[in-house]
Amino acid sequence: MMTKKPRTIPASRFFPLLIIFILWELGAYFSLFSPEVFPPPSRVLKTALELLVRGLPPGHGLHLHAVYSLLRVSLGFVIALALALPLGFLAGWSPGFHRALNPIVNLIRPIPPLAWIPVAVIWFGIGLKSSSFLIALGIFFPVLLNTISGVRGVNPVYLDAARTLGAGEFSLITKVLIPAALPMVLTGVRVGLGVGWMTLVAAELTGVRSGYGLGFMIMTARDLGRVDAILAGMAAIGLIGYLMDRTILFLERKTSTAS
Amino acid sequence: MSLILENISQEYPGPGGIPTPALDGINLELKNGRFTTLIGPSGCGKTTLLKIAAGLTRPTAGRVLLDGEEVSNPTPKIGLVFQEFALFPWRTILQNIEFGLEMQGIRSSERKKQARELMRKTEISGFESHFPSQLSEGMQQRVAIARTLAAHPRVILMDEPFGALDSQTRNSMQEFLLKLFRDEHPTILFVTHNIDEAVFLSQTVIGLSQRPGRIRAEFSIDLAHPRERTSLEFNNYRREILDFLDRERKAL
Repeated sequence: MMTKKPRTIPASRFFPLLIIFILWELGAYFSLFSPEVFPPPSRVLKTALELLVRGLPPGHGLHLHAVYSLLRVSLGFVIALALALPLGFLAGWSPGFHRALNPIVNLIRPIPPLAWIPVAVIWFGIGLKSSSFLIALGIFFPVLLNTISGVRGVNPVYLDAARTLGAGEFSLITKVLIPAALPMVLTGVRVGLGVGWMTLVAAELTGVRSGYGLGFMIMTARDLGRVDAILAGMAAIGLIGYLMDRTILFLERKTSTAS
Repeated sequence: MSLILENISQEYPGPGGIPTPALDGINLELKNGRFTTLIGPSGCGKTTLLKIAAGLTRPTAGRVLLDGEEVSNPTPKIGLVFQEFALFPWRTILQNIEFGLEMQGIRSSERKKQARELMRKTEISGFESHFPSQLSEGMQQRVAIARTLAAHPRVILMDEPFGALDSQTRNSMQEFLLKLFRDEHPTILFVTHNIDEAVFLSQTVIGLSQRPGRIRAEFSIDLAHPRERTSLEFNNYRREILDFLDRERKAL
C-alpha cells in the first residue's frame, strides 16, 4: 500500500562518474596532458587528504576552510529565510501587499548576487557580514518567489473545508496554509541554497579576513600555482553543495508524501 | 425547526459591470432529521447556495438562520462535504478526522478515541496512518464524511459528494449514506444532478430552475427505505423529476 520513494541512491547511479574518473586517470597516466596543469583524480584525492592534515596555507586544514564557508552559508541562510518566509507568506495571503511588493522585487531580482560584491565590501567591509549579505541575497529571491506562489497556489477548497470545521484565522494559517505551501517553499529553499553556495564561494575569492574559506583556499592555491589544490577545493565545494541539496530534497519529499 | 434559508439572492459582477444573477429569492426550510436534495440543471447555482448555507459566501440579499440565529460565518454546526473530498493531503486519515475536534480544543487522547469510533462507523478502520492519496476515491469520501461528522454538526450539506465516483462505487456510497442516516438521523441537504441518486436517497427533492436559480418544484418521495431502484414507484418518481428538468431546460 505504502508507496515509499527510495531514500538511498543505488551505487550503479555513480558508474558514469566513475568512468569519467577512469578515463581522466588513464589520460594522465599516458601523458595525454600534463599532470601539473590537469592533475589526475588520484593526485587530487591525495592532495585533498594532505590538505586535511597539513592545510593550505600550512595549519589551515581543508575541513576548517569548509567549516568557515558553511558558517557563512548558515548565517546568510538564516537571515534570508527570516526575511523571505514572512514576506512570502504575507504577499501570498494578501493581494494588496503582493501588488506593493512586486515591482520592488522584480527590479532587484535580475541583479546577480555577484554584482553586489563591490557595494557589499564597501558597506560591510571584508568579512562575515559582507559574505553573509551576499549569500542571503542569493537565497532570498528563490525562497520569496516560491513561497508567494506556494501560498497562492493552495487549493481554496482546503481553506473552505477548514473553515467549516471551525478553524479560525490563526489555525487556518498554521494548520492549513503553511503545511499546504510547504513543498513549494522547500523547492525555493533548495534552489536558493544552490545559488547562495555559488555566490558565497565567489565572494570568498575576492578575499576574506579570517584566512579561512574554500574560495579563499582556492585563490591561495592559484597564487602558488597548485592546480591539484584548486581542484581539491572545487571538489569539496561540489560535494558539500551536493549533500546540502540532497538534504533539502529529502525534506521536500517527506513533506509532499501525499500530494 | 432547524436551518432556514430566507429569501436568498446572489449576484456576481458580470461583464461591463452589469451584475449577473445566480440565485433569485430562495426560501427553504430544512426540518430536523430530514434528508432534502436539491436538483437542477448544471449552472443553476446549487453550489453557490450550499456555500451560502455554510456561511462561506455572503448572499447579496436574504439570510441564513440556524435555530433562529443568523449564520454569517462558517460554523462547525453546519458541516460541508465537498465533491473533491478536500482532505488535507499532509495529514493522515486519523489526523484528518481529528481536525474539527482539534479546532474545538479537545485533548489528543479524547480526539483519537472519537475519531477511531467514527472510523469504525464509516467502515474505514485500519487506515488510521495512511495518507489520503493512498486510498481509493470511495474510501476518501468516507473519510471526508467522517471528518465532517466528527465536528458534531447540526446540519450536513453535501455538494455532489459522489459526483466524482464511478457508478458502482456511487451506488455503494449511497447505501452507506442511507445506513448512516438511519443510525444517526442527521439533517442533510444534498446536492446532485443525478435523478436516480435523488430518488434513492431523499425524503424531499427540491427542483431548481435554470440560472438564476429559483425553486420551481418540490417532490415528496414517499417510499420506504431500502428503495428498489427498478420498481414501478421508483420509476414514476424518476419520470416526474425528469419531466420537470426537461421542462426547465426548454424554458430557456
